[in-house]
Amino acid sequence: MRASAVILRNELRILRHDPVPAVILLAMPLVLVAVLTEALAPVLHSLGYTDATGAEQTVPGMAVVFSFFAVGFIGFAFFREHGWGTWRRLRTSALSPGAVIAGKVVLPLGLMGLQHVALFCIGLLFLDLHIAGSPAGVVLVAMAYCAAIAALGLAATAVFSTVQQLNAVTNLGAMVVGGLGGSFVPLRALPPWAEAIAPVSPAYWAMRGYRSVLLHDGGVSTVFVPVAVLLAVAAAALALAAWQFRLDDPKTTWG
Amino acid sequence: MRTSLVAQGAVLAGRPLPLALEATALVKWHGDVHALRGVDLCVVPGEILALLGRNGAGKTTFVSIVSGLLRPDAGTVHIAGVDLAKNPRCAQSLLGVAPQQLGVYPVLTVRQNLQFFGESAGLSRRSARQRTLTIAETLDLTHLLDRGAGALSGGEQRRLHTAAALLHSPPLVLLDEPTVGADAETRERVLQAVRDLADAGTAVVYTTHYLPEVEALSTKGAELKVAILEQGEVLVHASLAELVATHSTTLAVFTFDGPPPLWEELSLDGLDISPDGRERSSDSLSLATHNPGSLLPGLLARLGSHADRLCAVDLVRPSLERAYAGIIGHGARDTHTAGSFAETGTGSVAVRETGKDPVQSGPLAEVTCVPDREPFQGE
Repeated sequence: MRASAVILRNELRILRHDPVPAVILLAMPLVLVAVLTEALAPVLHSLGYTDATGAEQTVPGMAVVFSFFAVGFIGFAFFREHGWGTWRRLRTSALSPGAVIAGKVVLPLGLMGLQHVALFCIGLLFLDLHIAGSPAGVVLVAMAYCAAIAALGLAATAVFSTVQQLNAVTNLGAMVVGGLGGSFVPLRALPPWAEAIAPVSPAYWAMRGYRSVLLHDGGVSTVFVPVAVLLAVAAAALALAAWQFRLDDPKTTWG
Repeated sequence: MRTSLVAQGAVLAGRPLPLALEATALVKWHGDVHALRGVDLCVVPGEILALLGRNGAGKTTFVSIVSGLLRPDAGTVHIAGVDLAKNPRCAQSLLGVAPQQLGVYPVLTVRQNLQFFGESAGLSRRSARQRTLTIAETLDLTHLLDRGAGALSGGEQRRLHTAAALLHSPPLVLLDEPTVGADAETRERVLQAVRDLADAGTAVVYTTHYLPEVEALSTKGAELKVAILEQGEVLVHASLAELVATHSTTLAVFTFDGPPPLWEELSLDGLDISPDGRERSSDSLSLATHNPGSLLPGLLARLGSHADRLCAVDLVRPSLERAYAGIIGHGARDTHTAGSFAETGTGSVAVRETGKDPVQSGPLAEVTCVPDREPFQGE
């Protein structure tokens, strides 16, 4: 625990030096929610949600899409150590590999949590977001989704060897996974083929959970299946990370 | 914790002291390459071990294994008595490592770097703060504490990199080529820090290609040993003084105006010349000897008419550099025999030009003893 705290404090120092990526991660979805909410209200109305304001789609949708960028945040936290030559130092320190890894995941997890809190607060305060069902259901889905993303971040770190690979997967992945999962527009507004393959995206399960609580008055029990699937994704990604993660793998920061 | 075997001399008040480092029968393969072939090395507290060898000799593999970055295929490593394989975290907490590759956080200040590396070595936040100030003073970083590490010069970064290994006062410090690319001032700072560490009882393993630097590590209080690795084996492991005395001779270089006499023209019988210690080049004769005082008058007397063409006689003292060349022997750089040191200028001899007037055979007063000229940088 102490060792992870040492790493976390260092990650915070590095973040303080260059907070721009984190600020963008937090600010961009807020801007998009403000811009898109009104435009999506008619779409939800056309699907039968006549009381919807649009925030029921944009708030969770943007949270899901932009949380995916944490995959890159986690990967970069490791790749930059290789680029700075500090990874070897960490490996020869008294810190265990597990503590180092845990310390590096905590900050992106916190950013994802902060992002969710900020988006839902803005939605509730300014965009007439109404949580028809159980707020606890929202929290459960958010926690399970963030856990899945963090695990995917570790798996990506383990699998990819260059920062370009990581960058491409993060940026494209956020768009594809989010779009396919119904984060930008409701799934029922997508073509049938997209609807058919959507369950392969973790975003689909997150949005399904959010929708059941926000639009269908669902209770905690209605999010059990989405939460279970997201936790299964997290477990599978962790297993992949554990299988592929090699402490002495060279990582190329550029080139 | 296990108390390891006792090194020679590692006894205090009749009780055995654990060795700072005990590497036993280390074997490592990199694919088909046999990087280490049963290396045994130990370092007692307060000793400096200079680890020498050509690129690919196994130095970095050895350092990587001792620092826990690589696992040996066979053999054991104990650091201050703690088995590295069985208790890696504990063993690594007793170790300070400055890898060859620079490793600092460029976006953090010097203070933040040292604070983090101190805490990651197991120091409390308060202790890390205090040690940061101490170690910064040792390596002349105090005035740079609040500067970003990325804004430092190469030498300053190198000092910061080294300082990070010393923060927690470990019983064993591994410094892998800590002065690569450093200026003279940084080099002296690092060398002084190493000498101070050893005098204070810390064991230091120091790898380098700069042989004069090794000689500069000698201190009054600490023992300086040299281990030479070649193709994964320890060729020599001895104190610097023993190594130089055993493996290096004085080299006498006789430079002529024109071709030197043939060996057959000179009677070398009875002169103290080391076996295989002679070489004839286009304008000089080089002779290696343990006893220049008797060789020089003897040879000068036997030059006969050739003495008229003798331009200079230079003596090169025994040195680690010449001992190293003799031990390593037959590598590309190290095929240089005594005479070729003078020709190539890579060794210690600076050829003395005495003009056209021949030096008369006679007293040693007319013979120069040339100090080392250029630090040798190995491959």
